Amino acid sequence: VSIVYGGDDALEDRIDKALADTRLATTLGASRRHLLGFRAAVEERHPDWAERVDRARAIRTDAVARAPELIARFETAVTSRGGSVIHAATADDAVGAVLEIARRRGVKVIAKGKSMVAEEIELNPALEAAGLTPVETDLGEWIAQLAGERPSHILAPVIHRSRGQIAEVLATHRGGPMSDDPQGLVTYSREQLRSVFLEAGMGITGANFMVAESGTVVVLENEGNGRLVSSLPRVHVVLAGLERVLETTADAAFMVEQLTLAAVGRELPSYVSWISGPAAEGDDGPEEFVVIVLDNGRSRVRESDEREILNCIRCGSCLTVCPVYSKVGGHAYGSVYGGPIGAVLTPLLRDMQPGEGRKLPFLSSLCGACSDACPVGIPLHDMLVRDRTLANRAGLAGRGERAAWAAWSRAWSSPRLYRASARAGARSGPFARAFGPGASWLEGRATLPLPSTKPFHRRWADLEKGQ
Amino acid sequence: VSERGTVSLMPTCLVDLVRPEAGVAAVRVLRRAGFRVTFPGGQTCCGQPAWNSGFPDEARRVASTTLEALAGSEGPIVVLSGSCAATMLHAWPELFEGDTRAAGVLERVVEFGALLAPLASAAPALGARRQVAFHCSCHQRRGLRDATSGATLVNSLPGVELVEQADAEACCGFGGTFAIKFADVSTSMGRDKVNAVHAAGASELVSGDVGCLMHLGGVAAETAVPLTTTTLPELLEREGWAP
Repeated sequence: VSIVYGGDDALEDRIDKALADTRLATTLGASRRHLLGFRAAVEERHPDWAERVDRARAIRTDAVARAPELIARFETAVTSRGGSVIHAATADDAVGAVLEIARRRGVKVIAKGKSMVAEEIELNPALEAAGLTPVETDLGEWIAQLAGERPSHILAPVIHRSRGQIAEVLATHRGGPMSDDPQGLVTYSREQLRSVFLEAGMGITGANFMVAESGTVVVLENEGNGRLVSSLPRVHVVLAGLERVLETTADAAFMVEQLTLAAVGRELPSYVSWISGPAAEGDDGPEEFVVIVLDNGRSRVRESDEREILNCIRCGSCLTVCPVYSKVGGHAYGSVYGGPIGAVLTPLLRDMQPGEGRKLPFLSSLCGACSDACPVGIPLHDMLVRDRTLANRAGLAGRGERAAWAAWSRAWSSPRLYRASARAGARSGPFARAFGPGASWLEGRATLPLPSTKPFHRRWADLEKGQ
Repeated sequence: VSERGTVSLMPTCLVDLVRPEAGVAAVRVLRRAGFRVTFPGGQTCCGQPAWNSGFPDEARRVASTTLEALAGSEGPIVVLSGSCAATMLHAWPELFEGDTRAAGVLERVVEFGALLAPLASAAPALGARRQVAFHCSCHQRRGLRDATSGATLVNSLPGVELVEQADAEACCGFGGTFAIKFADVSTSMGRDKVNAVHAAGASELVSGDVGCLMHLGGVAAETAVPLTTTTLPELLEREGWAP
């Protein structure tokens, strides 16, 4: 399990770099306000929004609780129509399964639709190492691939790049000048990608949902590339996290709308594909249809008290709306999954292993905007707090920090020692300003409030007399 | 005169230690409103700093002292912080599961502004009014689901004018230990807030949460934005608020 791609102590460095990029915060701030604007419109169109969130939460909670049973039903239905399901316990297993299919079918070029699971298992580097040519066909993902970058947002992979910076990437690809006119950029990309769809021996997509009762994979997109990727190549491989299952078509129909409302403020995206197996005999379409269901830590999370995080439907709202994400962008998190969902999910998938992932829950002011924005009602800011506890218990908090909190709790659980600490604090000026938390506080703040020489509890006696 | 009954004041550790003037002002405003004010002895802290830092056992130990102090108190427990009130209402049930004292305390918890806002009546404006902005903390807004009581109170003051700031619902960046662990991100968020308040024409920023004000006051001073920070009780006392 990698999931994080940053070096071990580079989180603070990546944050510094992001904060120095003032254009990033301007772009992300505008995107944040845009989301708040369309969410207000959605709640006006759907005055029952709170009930919708409750319903979505109930659907997802039930599906995650019964995931093994629902996946088994999904598999039965897929198999009955000539498709197959592969259960991948780890990222390596999933990559190995894709490579095996590619080898068996003699595939060279692979057309890819958008898939966060593919990012999670680091599929592209593995395919390239095996001599294959994976090409991203989602416009944003394609630009990220050409730039040699990770997507910085679940939904909008290159939101960190300006139009001009996107034009630069395409100019390099073209080997000639490129105007930053959006229409021109799209036209060029479309021309380039068209041949990939025709040439590819395999198409890979993600899955927004898997429907257990019908064995259907549901793919949402706005560009049409997902439909081409899933219908033109002879083999269609789907990558899905095991939590992405729903029981019924009715549940899926509701969740498609809920996801799209949250993500872009509309009831439906441009394309919703319901894919239930390989092409029937005599029909056009893939001869082979394989769904790779990835675990990679999910079962362990599902069996823990933190299972609700698996309810996530990857709408990206919590990233967009997060004031911290809006400042630092997705790359600062150094995880495939950034923002509040990433800060909660990343260390859980990694079982709180040492490394940067478990610092991420602390990268939040706990303002709760994420929880309010979540269309399936995940209490993200509460989960961030619980993750902090789990991270500390797994060893993130060093001896010094643990000792400091222990000393604090000893002192402040005694009113007498609390009052003594107030007197000591009032005399701590120069020391408090020069060292530790006080010094950090004064980075960017000119004043450090210290305990008063006459705290409220020493003023009360006089106040009481005036009653 | 205590025609509205007795309340128990919970100043919170920040007001007690760092902004005791807010506690004094709160006592005076509450009395003027007709409450008899008590200050249950033995309070320290609600435990939020440790709770939010991932040290729930340490949070419980400290909070239990405050719980014990409040358990025998009388009337509504008036908390001088939306953030601490939210921590009590959301974290304490978990910290004190099975503790019979907790329910009796929590059903009486009310944030200062939320207690007084229903008593406010709109006042006719006086001539030249001082322009102030109000910052509703995220824990007041989203934890207590109360985005209006502070503004209602400020709007009831004849001597001040509440100005609308851009992006008012955005977090100011304080976030407790977040302000120290990720100081650069925190102060960057703080600068946005300070700039929005300044752009709205306010020279005074009022909030029910001292934590946010400490942070924003420091950021304003650092960036030379002329802005004074005033707690809600201090503003109400100064402006002579009464129901």
